[in-house]
Amino acid sequence: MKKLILLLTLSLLGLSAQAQDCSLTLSGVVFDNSPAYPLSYANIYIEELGEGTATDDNGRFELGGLCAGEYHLSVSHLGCHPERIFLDLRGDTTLQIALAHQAALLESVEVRGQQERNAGQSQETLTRQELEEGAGKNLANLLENIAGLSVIRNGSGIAKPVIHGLTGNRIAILNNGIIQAGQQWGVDHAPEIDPFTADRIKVIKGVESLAYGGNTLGGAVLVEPGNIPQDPHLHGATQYVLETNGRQHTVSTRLEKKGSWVDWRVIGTFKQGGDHRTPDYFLRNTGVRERNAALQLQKTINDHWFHTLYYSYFHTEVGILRGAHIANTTDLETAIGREEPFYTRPNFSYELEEPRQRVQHHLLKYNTKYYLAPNRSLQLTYAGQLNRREEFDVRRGDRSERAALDLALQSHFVDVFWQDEAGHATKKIGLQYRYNENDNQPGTGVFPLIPDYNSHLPAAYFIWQLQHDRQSYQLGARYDFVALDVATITQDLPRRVERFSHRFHNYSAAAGWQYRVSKAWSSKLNLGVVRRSPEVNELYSQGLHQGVASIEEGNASLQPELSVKGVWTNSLQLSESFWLEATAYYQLVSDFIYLEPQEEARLTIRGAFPVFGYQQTNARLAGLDVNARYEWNPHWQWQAQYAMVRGYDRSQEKPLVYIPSDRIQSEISWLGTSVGKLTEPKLTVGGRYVFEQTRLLASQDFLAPPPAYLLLDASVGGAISWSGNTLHLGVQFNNLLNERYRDYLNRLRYYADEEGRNIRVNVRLEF
Amino acid sequence: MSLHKFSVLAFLAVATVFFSCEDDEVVIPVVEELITNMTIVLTPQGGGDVVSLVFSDPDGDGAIAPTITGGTLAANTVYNATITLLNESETPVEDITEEIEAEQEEHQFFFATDGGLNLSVSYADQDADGNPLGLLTTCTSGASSSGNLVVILRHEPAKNAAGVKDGDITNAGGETDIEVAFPIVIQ
Repeated sequence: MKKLILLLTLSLLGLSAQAQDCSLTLSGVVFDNSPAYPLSYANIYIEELGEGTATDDNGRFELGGLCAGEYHLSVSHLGCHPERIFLDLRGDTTLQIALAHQAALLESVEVRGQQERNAGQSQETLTRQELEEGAGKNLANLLENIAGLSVIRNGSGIAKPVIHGLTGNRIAILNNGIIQAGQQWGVDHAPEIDPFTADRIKVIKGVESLAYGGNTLGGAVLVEPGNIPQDPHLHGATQYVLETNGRQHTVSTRLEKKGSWVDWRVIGTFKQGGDHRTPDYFLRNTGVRERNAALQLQKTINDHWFHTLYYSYFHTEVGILRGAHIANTTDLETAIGREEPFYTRPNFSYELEEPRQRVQHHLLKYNTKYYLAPNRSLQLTYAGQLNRREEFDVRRGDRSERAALDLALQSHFVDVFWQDEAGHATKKIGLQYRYNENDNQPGTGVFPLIPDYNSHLPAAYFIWQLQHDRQSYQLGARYDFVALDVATITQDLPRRVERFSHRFHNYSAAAGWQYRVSKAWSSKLNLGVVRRSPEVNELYSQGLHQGVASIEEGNASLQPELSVKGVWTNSLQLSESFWLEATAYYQLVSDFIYLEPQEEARLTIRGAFPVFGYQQTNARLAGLDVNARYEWNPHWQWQAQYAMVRGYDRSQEKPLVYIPSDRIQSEISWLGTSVGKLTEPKLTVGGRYVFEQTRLLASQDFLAPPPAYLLLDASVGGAISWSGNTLHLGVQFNNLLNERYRDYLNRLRYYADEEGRNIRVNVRLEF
Repeated sequence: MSLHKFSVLAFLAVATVFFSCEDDEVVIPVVEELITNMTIVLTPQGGGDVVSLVFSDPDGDGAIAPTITGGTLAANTVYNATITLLNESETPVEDITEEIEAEQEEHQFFFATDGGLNLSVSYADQDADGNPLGLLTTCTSGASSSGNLVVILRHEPAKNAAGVKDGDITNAGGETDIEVAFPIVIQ
């Protein structure tokens, strides 16, 4: 699988502007990430003329006898998605086009002509092509194929990413550069982001994402819409995805244009799915309804002042397996012992009933960048977010229609930073201010699980990067002040409102070093320290968690946790055709916050419940991610990934819970040669083996972790191109053998099997 | 509109939102679904001492433990038992029994004994579908013994599943609304 990414801007050289000159030459070089790796047999095609050429052994191409005018170039490589470039040809022109192999040089993918200077960063990117192939999946599921990433789920519809064993409050999710301000209090709270709005998704596994702030102790996920292409014609794409399991339909459309006054892009997505199916039964109430929209506007003034306005709306309604709604420990024990869950129906249904969630998220972002000098700029960003989360339970009376949890969160964020990119060094200094206010909406008739609170978070940071010959360095530091004010309702009678204030000082620092030892070997080292203060749910949550039948209680005396993490990555190009990358990491967290079962169960009218309280311990996480790729020849490729992580409680000398088990995945692809209008033919067969999590004491869970499983996948795809339009067709088979299995990181594994076979039909029209 | 004007307006709009966020009053919710009190009144059919079994937990799921009052039954006696459920956290006190009666098809009480308690419970009422409900029961005591009477109320049970109509909870499913054990002595 070879994928191409347009990497650098085109450098236009030579100008001999003459209006009706039809003897112009377009030449250039296509290379793989750096001019040291020219790409041969890349296709250059001028859509308007229907003619093209291919690059030679040195990656060079030349097209002569061209008239001045506006053209769309399509640049592609074997088996790849062509990249389109708009070109206003006025004279002899030389282009430098950088296309990167998908795996080999992932970590240095960057658009917009910036030299990549993230020394020692350990990051991976999902390209636009991968996002298009995985269209219809939610954010976390898209990330699952990256080594070191796993997904913690609450059934098929709700999923959140796990990076190197850490999730939830410890990883930051950034939508368009802004920390997602959602209610991420539980495993059943998925990020409110439509992946169709992204041109790429980056995952930062280290701790160096200082500019983003927030809780990046475990890493960060960056969902990035790209810039609007500088093409004066209307372009866009419409995609339709049908998934047989859940009979889910997804439609998304994107339109974009460089306008005379403002450049714009709109994206709309609609998704509707019903009950998913295991090999043996339907998972009742596991459907989803989603509708999302996004608008992006860009305006350039005088070539040195840029404005971007971005608005996105996300709306989802998702069902939670009916058989997982249980009330007490007796119910839990009964449910765990069953072959198939209670309430299972023999028929498929699109119906959404209780328990279900309805979540809406608005993001408004304005960014302006002003160049003080060619290499020096000042940026101002404002982002406002509004998040409403309603959770509906099965209730007595007619109360099921009323949310049992109804939270409204508003967040405002201002960021000002100054950047200097002169020479080989980049300096960046920034100031930020964030305000969050979360209010329980009245009328639920239930005591709130999370109290009302507001927080003020001013911050300052600097980042310094230096590129020197074959080495690059990065150094950064950040300080965050956290002022948290909480209003809780007392447990004892009569009920009263009590207010608490917390003040925390958080700091983080990171240092990175990258060394290109030889053409074949590059090594990166990243070290970081992060201090994370406890979140409001860790301090003050109070109440019953449906689904696992336990009472969760916050601990107001928690102190910030301090983490030190080292990440070491080595990339080896062992031969022309064999590439290997290994990332090893080691992380120590002191005062690690976790949920611990309390000794005494609590007696209520619904029986006895175990009580879980937040405690602190000292933890250790360590692991290894390996990526390998081998190309027999341009038509046959193999790639594999392996990931392991170990989590250990050093104080109590026992394993940490919810640590992903080892996993290995591999796939073989055949890339065909284009025949006439049929391009990019491709066949892939792959598999994933997930080991049993054996590092857990029996006393640490209600049910022992499920056994290991092997899933097989296959896909076939291709595209048809005509006069600037491309129709992509793909069919993917997931869980081909209809394997019956359960996954340790799915909270619904107590009650039901995972989904069975799924066939995804993916149609995408680009115009 | 010039861009400068636009920027200023945008900033003003933002600032207005920003500084108008007041610290809202915190509303203490009325928990309508809460059952704080369950009383079972056992009246001997042939006359005699009326026994009341009481479960009381005014703070609901809160940390204060409930009080459970058991009772002493006469041996070899048939009692008519009536269950009353209250939510005392509301003013006026709400009678949850009415709510269960209104949704009788979706609820069913189950009764079990442990510790060798010699007491059998049979349903004395029916829902609209002719299935047992359990707000009214007949309790028959046997020889002297002691143990717990466990009272369970299930929401949305499978009333037609095997054994459920006879009071066997095994296949009932549903969610537990009540699960209380009353200590009983028969003498």
